[in-house]
Amino acid sequence: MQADVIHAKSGLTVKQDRMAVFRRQWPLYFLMIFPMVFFIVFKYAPMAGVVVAFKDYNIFKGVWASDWVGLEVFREIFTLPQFYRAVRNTLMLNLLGLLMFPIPIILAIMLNELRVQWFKRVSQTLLYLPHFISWVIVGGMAIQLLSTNTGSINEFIKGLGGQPIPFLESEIMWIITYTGAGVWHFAGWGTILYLAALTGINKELYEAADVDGASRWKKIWHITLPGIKPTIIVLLILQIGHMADISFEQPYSFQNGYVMDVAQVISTYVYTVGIQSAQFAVATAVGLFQSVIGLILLVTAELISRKVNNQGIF
Amino acid sequence: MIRNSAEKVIDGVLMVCIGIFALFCIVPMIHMFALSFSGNRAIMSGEVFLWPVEWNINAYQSVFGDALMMRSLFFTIILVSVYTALALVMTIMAAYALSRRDFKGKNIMFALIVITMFFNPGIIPNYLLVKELGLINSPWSLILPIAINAFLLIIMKTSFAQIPSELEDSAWMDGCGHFRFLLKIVLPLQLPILATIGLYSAVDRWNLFQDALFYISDKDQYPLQLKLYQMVINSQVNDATAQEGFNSSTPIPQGIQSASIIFATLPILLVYPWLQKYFISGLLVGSVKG
Amino acid sequence: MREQFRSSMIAIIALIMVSVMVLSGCTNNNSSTEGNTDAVKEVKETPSKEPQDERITLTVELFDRNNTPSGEPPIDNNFMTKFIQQNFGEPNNIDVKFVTVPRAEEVQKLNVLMASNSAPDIVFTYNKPTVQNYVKSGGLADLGPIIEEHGSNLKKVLGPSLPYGVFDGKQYVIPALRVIQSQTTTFIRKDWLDKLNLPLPQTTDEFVDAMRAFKKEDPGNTGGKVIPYSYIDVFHMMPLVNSFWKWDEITDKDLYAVPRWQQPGSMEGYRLLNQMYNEGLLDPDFALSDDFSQNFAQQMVNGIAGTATPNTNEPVYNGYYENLKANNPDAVLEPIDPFSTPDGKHPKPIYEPIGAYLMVPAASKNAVAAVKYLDWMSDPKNLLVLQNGEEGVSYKMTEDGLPVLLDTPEAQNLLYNYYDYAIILNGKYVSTEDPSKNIAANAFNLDFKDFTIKSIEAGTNEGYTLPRVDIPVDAEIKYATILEEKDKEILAKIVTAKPDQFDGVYEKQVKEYMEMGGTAVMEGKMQAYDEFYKK
Repeated sequence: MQADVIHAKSGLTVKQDRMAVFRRQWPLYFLMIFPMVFFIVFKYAPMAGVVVAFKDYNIFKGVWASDWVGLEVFREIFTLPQFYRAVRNTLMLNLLGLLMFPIPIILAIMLNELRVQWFKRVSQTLLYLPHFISWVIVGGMAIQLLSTNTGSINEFIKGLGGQPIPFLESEIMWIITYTGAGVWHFAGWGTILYLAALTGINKELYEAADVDGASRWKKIWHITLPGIKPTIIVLLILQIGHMADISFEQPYSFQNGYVMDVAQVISTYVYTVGIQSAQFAVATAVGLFQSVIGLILLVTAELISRKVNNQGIF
Repeated sequence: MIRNSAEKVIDGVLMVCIGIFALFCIVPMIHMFALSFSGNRAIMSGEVFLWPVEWNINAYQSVFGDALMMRSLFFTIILVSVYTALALVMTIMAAYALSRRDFKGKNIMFALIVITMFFNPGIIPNYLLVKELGLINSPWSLILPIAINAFLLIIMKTSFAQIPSELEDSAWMDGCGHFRFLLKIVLPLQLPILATIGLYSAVDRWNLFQDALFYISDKDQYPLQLKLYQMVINSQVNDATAQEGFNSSTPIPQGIQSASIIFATLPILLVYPWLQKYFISGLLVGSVKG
Repeated sequence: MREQFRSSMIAIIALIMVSVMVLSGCTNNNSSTEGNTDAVKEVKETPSKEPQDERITLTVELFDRNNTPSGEPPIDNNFMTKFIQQNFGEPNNIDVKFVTVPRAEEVQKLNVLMASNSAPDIVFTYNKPTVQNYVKSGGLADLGPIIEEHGSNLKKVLGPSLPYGVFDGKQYVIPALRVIQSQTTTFIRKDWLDKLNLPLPQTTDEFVDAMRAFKKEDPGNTGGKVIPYSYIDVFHMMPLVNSFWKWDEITDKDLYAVPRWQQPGSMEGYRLLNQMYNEGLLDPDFALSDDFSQNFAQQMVNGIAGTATPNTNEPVYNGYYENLKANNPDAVLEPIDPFSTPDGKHPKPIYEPIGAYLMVPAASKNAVAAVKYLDWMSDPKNLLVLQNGEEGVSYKMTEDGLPVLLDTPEAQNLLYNYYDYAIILNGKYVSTEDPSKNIAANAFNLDFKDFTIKSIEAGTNEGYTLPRVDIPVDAEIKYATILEEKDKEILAKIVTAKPDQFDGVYEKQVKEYMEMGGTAVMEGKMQAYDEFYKK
């Protein structure tokens, strides 16, 4: 298409057009060689291993020599006890996580609006501290703080004369605690990206708005938010695309016998059924199932975003 | 900037809100600091909350005196530095090319990259690949297989794509090809995002230990977080120790665990404040006018 | 226009993906890193014979617990490894090399090593499904003939455990000998009993009465925070529940195959727990964590918990007995064996005499050297060093020939992980003939020697193991871990249920358990039992 335009405008021949384009664009192809080699070698080559999901995997015969069983493994996982419970819980927890999506954005804008520089810098560093504490340790801390009868927080509540709150033992409270812990762990870290995006907004737009006498709210709504819109859209689409995935550490560290009905998620389920029971084909098949769902979700989100925003990740 | 009373009130409200959140974030760290300076008996009795009880520096002496810990620290710092440099270079190359409007074939390449975010076949195929490449027990096994993070690549590409196309066209008219355009114009303009991606990459590598668990057997090449993870896990009384019965080891005292956690976290925490100077705005102003 | 472009793009992507996968499939087909089928066939038929004059390297797995005291040499090059190389390696022209594997994730790491044909000559794990999987997949060497020829010491010491490693008539696994078979031991705050003028409980009823007294009278002055009975989970509640089982209705086959929830009388045992919970006699947050090391230790050390049934000798090796005494010198813990059936018996599960499962991969060329190594290890004078270190430096001998550890930092630095070298044993072993010597040898903390010995005795008293069945049960391999997880859920729900809802909750949970694999496992086990004992 581009070639046609040049042709019409410049009157060059088709061959000279192609030469012109090539002269301009060859560095791009060169630049892409290294990354593409990386993806082919380190991502696509191991990907061939997903065929284990279609095999009666024998760890000694290896991936290729193991017997082919077609969709048998998939049939098995769909009849596995409590597989649907794990899927349902994964989607539920991720949906709640999606609802929390705006929090880093709000925090970033708040930090951006703040004029007290020293407070801004100090609080930024404090806010992302939780990101560095691994979930294994957070889980232990959570129990110390939040257990119904001896947790520090409940001791405090009891001291005030109130009723202890079963943060980790009642199903509803557990879900709230889990989501809250997720926000606590990530929000501060997420603001960094939005803050970087905020610096890219043209200062002149703000100055012009000041001249027009716009209030803070108007400026945020009409300048700040649209300014970081591409970043927001991309992150939102990606988060939707990963709705079928869930990390392992956070659920594993927070699970306990009281709340398994809501706390068993795909990652922890696969760990128990697949890996600890040496059922690798099952683990791979579930992973493949998640991948396909994730891809479908991503493409859907992308298409919708294109219609609505004229913008997507592509 | 004139700060009238209305602005001051807003500032105040913001500070309170952010301050409360920040408090939640810092309390656990303070608790760990307190634990790391407290005596074992006090810790086991649950007496320590925000302030050390039975102050001592034994835990830190243990940690700093442990030659393996120190070697691990230096190794990890070098590892993260090399990794971040490579990751940035590779990601920039791909992000730049994929963000150019008239790059034929970019959509297919991009699609192929996006797909890799979803399909991960698990540790066995990845281990076999690393072994085939002869990288087992080499630090490169901790660098090459994760050189580009597709997620970060997408973010960087989106950011690069926001540079006005007039800039690229006028550069081309002035005889500036892609390489010079990238180095002289794009990168300086995109410092905040580069700093962010660099930081995210560094932290990801710093915190990651699952790959080293499998690829590395030489203790001198354990990332710090791996040593930490082992320390914490081995101290837990659970099914594993039930199986081992009389072979179980004495758990590592919590004071030492906390000191180790702080030891393993502090270095990377110091990176962001140092990077904050790159998060300045206004570099785009004026560049389009010319 | 855009939609067409998009759909053609998706088609192209799909094509590329498929072709990449097919291509990698073709090229990888005969890759040397994967197909071990030839190796599997080879070693199964003839044990390898290496030429005696060629120096070989024997690789042995070694757990890395990351607990080396600072200043000490690394675990793959220290006193122990040097001793092994000098006394076994040199005389046999073998280089013994240790391959460290992190204790956490040992199963995954082992799988990865086996899958890539790079596992050491001697490997081991505690995880039974993994072992069963290796046996089923044909990846282990048959060590039977080799042991006959080179393993006389091994056979003597591991006599009780070797039969557990036989599958399909072949010795694929050498299970380590577990010297101390007791699993759990109940202990109680004797000083509290003394204060209330109560005797040591010897029956279940006396035990519950003591719990009620602890709650009511609060002899520990906890201000109402007292937890009479703590450390509640499925594994540790077995002695209590076992005392309710109707043992005359349970045949050996039932014992082996029927899940604990369905054994006759089991429900009553759990009902007692439910009752105790509702009376406030149990730790209310008991199901919050698998890891009791912090919370329970805190409860003990702060004098809040009155009794518990932890792993035998845990108060000593976990250090909380010592810390309790530091906080309160009058506190005394006493091992007891209270849970009794109506006819005065104290049944409780004990470990089979096996510890870790030692294996030699079929692809290993050094199976003979491996067996020779383990045989050398079984010689009591070598075990003495591997388990106790250097005489005069880390231990001294008493008159009755028992090695007693010296309470010095040198001893600690030498022996902090001795059991990872002496892999054929789980627990200290000094005598093939006299079991009481072995018990005494395992009381390594002299301050608490009596406590330890009494704990072991109480924990082994009238213990039972499940009947042994060689035949692997597929359903068990598949569902064992997921059912274990369900166990935790069931316990949490039935114990915390309201007393009038207990029956309903119990039945519902057990029904779920059976439907999610419990029935399949039970039936599989019954079949296996019949097949095995037909002979």
